[in-house]
Amino acid sequence: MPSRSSTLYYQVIDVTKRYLGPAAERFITRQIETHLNKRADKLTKKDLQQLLDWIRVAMALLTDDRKLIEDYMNNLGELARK
Amino acid sequence: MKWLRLRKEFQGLLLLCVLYIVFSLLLPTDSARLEKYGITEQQAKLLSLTIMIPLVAIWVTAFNGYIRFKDYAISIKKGDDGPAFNLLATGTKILAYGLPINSLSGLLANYLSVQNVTFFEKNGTIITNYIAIIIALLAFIYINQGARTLLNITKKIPPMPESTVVAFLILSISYCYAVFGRGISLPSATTNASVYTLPTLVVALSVVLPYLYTWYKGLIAAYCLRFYEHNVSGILYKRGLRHLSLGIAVVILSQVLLQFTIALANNLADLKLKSLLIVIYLLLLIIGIGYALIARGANKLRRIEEVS
Repeated sequence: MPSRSSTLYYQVIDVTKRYLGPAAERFITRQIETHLNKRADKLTKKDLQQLLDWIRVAMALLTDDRKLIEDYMNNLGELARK
Repeated sequence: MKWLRLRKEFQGLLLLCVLYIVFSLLLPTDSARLEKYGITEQQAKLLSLTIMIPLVAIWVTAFNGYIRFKDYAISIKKGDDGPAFNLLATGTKILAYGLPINSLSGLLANYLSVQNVTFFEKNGTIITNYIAIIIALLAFIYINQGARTLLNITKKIPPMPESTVVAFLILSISYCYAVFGRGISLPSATTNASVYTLPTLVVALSVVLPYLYTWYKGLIAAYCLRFYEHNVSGILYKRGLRHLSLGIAVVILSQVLLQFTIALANNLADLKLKSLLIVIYLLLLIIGIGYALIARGANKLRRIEEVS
């Protein structure tokens, strides 16, 4: 279980919770471990853009609501710009 | 492992369906009923097919709904919401199995009673009623517990709105009237027997009270699910949850309607055949809609867990 000290990981989850609720942590952990081939708590800023690309693809499979997806991606993009 | 579990579940359903169809077609129809509706044995069997086919379709829908819900609950078992959804899925499983079990027990008890098997003449109705009560009570306890556990995630305590209390009061009074005002004191002209074949006090304590308690549990569960749906975060998550919570509410409603129908059985027996069939089909439709919504909601939520 990733520790709270990996704040970028938890920041991503906090944003994701607005869209996926209790499923957010499971979703993000799965994206990191499957596509970035690393432990979720090892997420760094360098990985963020690649992660965002995969999240966009996954969200497109879950919903046709483009506005929702763009809103989510913009919120995640702010983390990359910090 | 999943396919093994699916095969076991559908094998169970298949066995119950086959037993029900075989007994329905092979067991002779009550001659009093044939006389009442002016039909022959063959016509009665053809008529029973028109009920049997949608009935079995509803059982399949119910099993499909429960299995998809259970699959979702298994996929999130390690999450905060996992245990709660597992309890809810178990409750819907009991209700899904209860549909064919109640139909079979009623069919067999009725047949044995008509065949003058003494034990079933006296106790057939009582046995089938108590089987139905136990199934409903167990199921609603699980559903209630699951819904309350979900509230822990929101960390909020829902206020009890007056409308829920009033709804329960209306339901209780209506059911008591249906049982005591109609079901017991007005024996059917055809059967010359009251619906529950028990003394009034025993009916009050062992039938009415358990059902009222069961529906109270169900009403609270439906309210808690609605509260959870409103207060949990996650736009996409809520979309799946909406179907699920609505489906569970409709299934709870269908159980209440089913019991009202049984309580009014003597009055329904006086209806024309066509009207009686409409009542049965409407009830089946409501049950089917409930489980279809559960399946749809569970599918949406499960996709969130599977997409990578």
